[in-house]
Formats: sequence, structure tokens, C-alpha cells
Amino acid sequence: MASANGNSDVELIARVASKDRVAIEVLYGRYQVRLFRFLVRLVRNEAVAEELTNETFLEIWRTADRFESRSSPSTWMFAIARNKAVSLLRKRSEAELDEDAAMLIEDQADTPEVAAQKGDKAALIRACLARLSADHREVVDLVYYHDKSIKEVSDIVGIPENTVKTRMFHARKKLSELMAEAGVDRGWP
Amino acid sequence: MSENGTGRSAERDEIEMLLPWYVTGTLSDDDRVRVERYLADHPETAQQLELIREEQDEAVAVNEALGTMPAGALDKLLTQIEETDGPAIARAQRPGLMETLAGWLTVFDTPALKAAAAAAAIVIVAQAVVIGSLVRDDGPASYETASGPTEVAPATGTRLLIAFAEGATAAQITGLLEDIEGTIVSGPKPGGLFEVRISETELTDAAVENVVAGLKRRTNIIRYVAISN
Repeated sequence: MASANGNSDVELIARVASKDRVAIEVLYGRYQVRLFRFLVRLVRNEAVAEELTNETFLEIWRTADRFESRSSPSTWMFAIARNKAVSLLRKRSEAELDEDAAMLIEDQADTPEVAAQKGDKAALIRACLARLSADHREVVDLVYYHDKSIKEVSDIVGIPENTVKTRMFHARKKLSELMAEAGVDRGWP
Repeated sequence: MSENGTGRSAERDEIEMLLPWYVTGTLSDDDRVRVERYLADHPETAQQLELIREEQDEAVAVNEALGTMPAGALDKLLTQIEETDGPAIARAQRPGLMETLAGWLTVFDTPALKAAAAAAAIVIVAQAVVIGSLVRDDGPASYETASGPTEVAPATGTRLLIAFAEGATAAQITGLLEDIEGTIVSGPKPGGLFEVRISETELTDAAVENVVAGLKRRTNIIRYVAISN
């Protein structure tokens, strides 16, 4: 839907396609936070995520004329960001990835066991979320934090909608299992 | 009703798979109706919704704890664009503060993202306040910020002129605007003043003065407030 001031996402993308730099600044303002955070969670390194966020907006600038309205601008931009992250992760060694993952886990205030002993359920859930696999974490973030629909997650991640549903289901089951291992039974599944 | 290998019904599994999107309100209409019918017939499943809300709260908390792009990142991007696409754009083409602020604050549909955007936007507000205080008062049509000329919005509804305190945080400013249901419609004007619309209609003098009096007490956020004529 067109907005009164020409600032809907679709309109902004069209303006970017015609090389309107005002539009890319406004788009940057709208999406830099969520794309940066999405990328931090994927690559587990803030400096790398900053670079990838920058590259994502450069790609948006360069390819906005190829945007088709099959998906929303937001979904299109998330997919670009994700592709950047996946390309980078493929180039990095397992050792580097393990190191980053270890650092991120160390950043957690408590282990699941400690959080459970303290009776801090919120901290326990956070600690267990940090221990989900990258695939599970990604879909959890897209659904719970970025409010993406099944179709949108499917478009961003590049998997069928049924796979999105089962992946989220298994992520939630794994979360419950991790909590159970720490001694907290959620009564599900 | 079919049973899967764990003794749970296949229908229950299918519905449970949809529940996260039911809770976030992003389910298609057909699926939402399907879930609601199932929940009506199986009230015990509602307990799941509470678990999902817990998970969502903590997923949001984890993401909110992450930072934002560093100051200067946008300039870096624009420099790269200029390097690839040619010389710098004319000053008049740069976005005004209001366009930038409006862009940064409109699409953030969750409180977490809205706060994060405001945290980034506050840099612009602070800059505008400083710049605005240095610009001589030649009237509303002649001022300009570092971001370019300011757009002048139609003078409708009930509006106030507000200058934010230097120490006001992003959360305080957005919170205050939410409290008074205010929208920044133009600015910064000389002296760092923003025009804030508090109603689409003309409120009575007593009502406006009441709002102004309340705002004047919030000296940690506001350093000046007056009715805009």
C-alpha cells in the first residue's frame, strides 16, 4: 500500500532502485538494528556482523531494481543478509566457528544447571536457547523476535514451509529436553 | 483419529506446530481458525501457549541484549555508495531530520526494536539540538540542519514546541511521546525545538495547558515546552 509520504518499504525499495540515496538512508534506519542482530546471532561475532550488515545494504543498493513483490521488502532484505552470512560461514574453518561459539556460550551469565539451581526460570530458558543448534536458533529468532510468518521464514531460510514448522517444533522440543536435563520439567512434550 | 509413533495424535502434533505463530499473531486466517477450533475442543492445549510466551519473552530478551550498529556505520555505507556510484549527492537531496527520524521509528513493530531504533535515532536528535542552538533565529523557513533542510508539515491539530533535555535518553523520549500520544511533525527549529502534535483535533485551551503543565514537570526529559501557534 502506498503511504502518504512515499515511505512504505515497497516505495523505498523503488526509490533505491532509482538510486535515491535518501531512500537508502531511511531504509537503513528502519532495518539496521534487526538485520544486525539477526546477523550477530548467525555469525556469533559483532565485528563480522557489522561488516555483513554493511554489505547487505550495499547489495540492497545495487540490486533494488531486481526486487519483485513476490515477498515483502523485509523478507527480501533478511534473505540477502542470510545469504551473506551463509557464504561467510562456509569459508570459515570449523575451528574458528567453534571458538566463536565457545565465546558466546561463555558470555551467558549462567549455565542451565546453575540457572536451574537458582530457580531462575527465565535465565534457564535463555541458557538453553543459547545451546540450540544454529538451525534451531535461527528459526526461533525469526519467529519469536522478528515476528516472521511460516511463509516468510520459508522465503528467508530457503526451506519448504513444512520444514519450517517441523524445525520450529523440534527446536522447542530440544529446548524442553535441555531444561529437563537441568532438572526442570516443563510438562511438554 | 490417527496416532503417531509416540501415541500422540497426528492432529495434535500439527496444531502444536502452528502454535508459535498463533501466539505471535502471524498465522494465516485458515490456520488461525483451525487452531482456535482445536483449542476450544482441547482446552488442556492452552497450557502450551503459556510455554510459548515464556520462550518468546526470553528469545526477545536475548536479542535485545545485543547491540546496534556503531556510530558512523551509515556514513561508511554512504561513502562506499559514493565510491561505486559517483560523486557525493547535493546537500539538498540529503534526508531531512524528520524523514530520517520518521523512517527510523515507524516500522519497528515490537517494543524491543522500537527502543533500539530510538537509541540510534537519539544521536540525530542530540545532533539536531546542538546544531539548532547554534543557528540564528531567522524564522521557520530559513533554518537547516546538517542533514539538510527540514520539511514543514501541515499545521493541523494541536501542536506543542518541545526541546528535549540534553541528558534525556532515547527510552525517556520515546516513552514521553507515547505518554502524550505525540508525533514529531517538524523540526528541529532554532534552539533545538521540535513541533509535536498531541492531537489530530484542536483541543481546548484548558486541556492543552494541562498537558503542558505536566510536561514542564518532566525536567529530566524536557528543557522547554510551549504551545505552538
